Amino acid sequence: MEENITSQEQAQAKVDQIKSFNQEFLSLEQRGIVAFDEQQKQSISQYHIDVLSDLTLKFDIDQSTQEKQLTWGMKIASLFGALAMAASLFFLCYQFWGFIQTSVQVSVLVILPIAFFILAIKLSAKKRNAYFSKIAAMLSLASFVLNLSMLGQIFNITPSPNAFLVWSLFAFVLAYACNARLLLIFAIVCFSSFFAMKIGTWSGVYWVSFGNRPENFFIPALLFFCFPAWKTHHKFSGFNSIYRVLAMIMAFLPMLILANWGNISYLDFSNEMIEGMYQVLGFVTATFAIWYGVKRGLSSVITTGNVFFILFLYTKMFDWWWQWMPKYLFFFLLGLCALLALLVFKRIRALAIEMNELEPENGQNEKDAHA
Amino acid sequence: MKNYLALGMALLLLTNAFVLAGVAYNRSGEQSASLILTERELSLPHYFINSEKSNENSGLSLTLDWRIADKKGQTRYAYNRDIVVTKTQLASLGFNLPRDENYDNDYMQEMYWALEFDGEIYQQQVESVRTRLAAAEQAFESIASSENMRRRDNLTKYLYEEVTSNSRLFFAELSADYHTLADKYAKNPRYIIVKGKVSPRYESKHKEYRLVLHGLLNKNLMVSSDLMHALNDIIEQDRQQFQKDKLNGEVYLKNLAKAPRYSFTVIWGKRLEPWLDSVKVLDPIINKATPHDSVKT
Repeated sequence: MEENITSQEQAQAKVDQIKSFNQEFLSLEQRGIVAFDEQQKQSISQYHIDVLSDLTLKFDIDQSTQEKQLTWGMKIASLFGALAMAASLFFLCYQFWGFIQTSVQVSVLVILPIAFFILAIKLSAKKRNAYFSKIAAMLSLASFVLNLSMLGQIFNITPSPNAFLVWSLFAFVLAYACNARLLLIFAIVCFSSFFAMKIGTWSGVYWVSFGNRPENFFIPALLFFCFPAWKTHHKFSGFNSIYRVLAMIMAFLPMLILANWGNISYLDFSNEMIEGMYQVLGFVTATFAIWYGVKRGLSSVITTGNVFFILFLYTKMFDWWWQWMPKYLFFFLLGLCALLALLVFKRIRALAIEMNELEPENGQNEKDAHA
Repeated sequence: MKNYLALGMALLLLTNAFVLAGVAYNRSGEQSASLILTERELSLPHYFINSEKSNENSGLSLTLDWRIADKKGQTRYAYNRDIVVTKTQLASLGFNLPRDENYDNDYMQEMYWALEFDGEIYQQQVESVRTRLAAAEQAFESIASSENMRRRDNLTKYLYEEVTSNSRLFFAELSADYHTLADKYAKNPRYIIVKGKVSPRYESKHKEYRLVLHGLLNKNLMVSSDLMHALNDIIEQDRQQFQKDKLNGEVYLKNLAKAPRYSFTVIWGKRLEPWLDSVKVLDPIINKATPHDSVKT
């Protein structure tokens, strides 16, 4: 196989491409638009058979709609399996903890994440075991969390935000090693929390209370949003979207909170002024995100920008009108606004089609796969 | 893949090595303090007695019960966790004045606390309850109202609890700097220096600043399996009592005012992180007191 296909998603895209090609070719042939001789048909068919058998050997791909539906079932099962096994591990340790010597407790706590980690890496080496490697990776992370929290309890160690840093670093390693999006989400959330805790501590807030100052999340949000532009993820499906969407949530949610509760801001202005400022910032940033998403062809950025633009708009409307306006009129106005938003989005979409710029999130990956 | 393996293994091993080295450092060399605390200061958690819940967690952690001296007119043990301070005291501890009286948590800081065990503050506390009881008895003798009787009965029970079961570990002082407290208290065996969380607060009703003492950073002490055997009978006894009370529709907490049944040697290490070193089962008969005794003493 001459193409450089490195991920499950690229392989699946190639399979879908072959399937679409065959359907379209059949249709064109039936209408008499093209006509290949038997020799040409044979060589195309042979080429497709070779590619498919090669991909089937290397990756866990679906060749039919039924298989795809089953794969979705497997994805859901592996997610629940991983979460349930992690929970089971926690409860198992708690159940028998009191009967075990301290030295044995420590050994178990140290060995468990290492054993699951080695298993996850071993399984991920074979693409066909992707689901099992993700479950093992999840167990490894859960046992590492258990490892540090239980050592903290056994030896009464002073709690520290640094635990979040090592958990996030380990989750990053696992996410990249096993191509696991769930672990990437955990890693980003943990790292952002650690960053917010540190910023909070430097500003005189106790680290546990880092959530009391939502502005602590702005810097990690900015860093994670820019990260995919600096390092692309050809081999990792969906990673770019996860970085951008989580970063946007970490920026917009604090803005939304501060737009309503200005008293928890670091800024030393009146509450009304802070709230007004964040309301404006929310609208401007959401609009900018939609524009940026359209310009760069990032559908997830457009969607997240849209969602938060509407949230900001509805929150503002609630502030202005809920108290004094009859409810039927309030909801009617909301409906009208939704229609207006629909018209605006339609216009943006038309504009994007004109510019021919709106591509799928992993357009680059797909281009590579199709090359 | 080899890079991920190396990176992950390094992270796991280095983190554990760092954590365990910290534990070894804390427990090495000269300890910062050591106390023999009883059930009064290290009570069994309620979830552990309720066997239905404890079935899922076999690990036992004892919580260090500390308190502050009573406020004026108090007739029973209350969960007081704040002390009145001046603006100057707040500033000297490094706090900015809270701008919003309803919002104090974001000003929370880690500070060093000095706690006194079974010392002058405890004696003053017992004396204070005794004085309040004497006044209440006198008031009841003058006017035998139900209010006066209730007050007298509450204080009688309270005094009994003070001499029998309430914690003798009292908050004494706090500082942002460890050495300030160490210079003052390190040589006194009744004092320990620990780390705790504190936040300032403004009470508009009384027009005064207060420091809210949120709790100790290292408050839970896990009982290792080799010390656990000493508590097995006591736990079993409490669980049976709990079940009996439950069947009779009584509240288990009613039976909590009792003489201490065990003591632990607690050691605070170099990083002020405590651990349970040894355990001793106490004879409840010897330690037993009655409300009547406590009133007479």
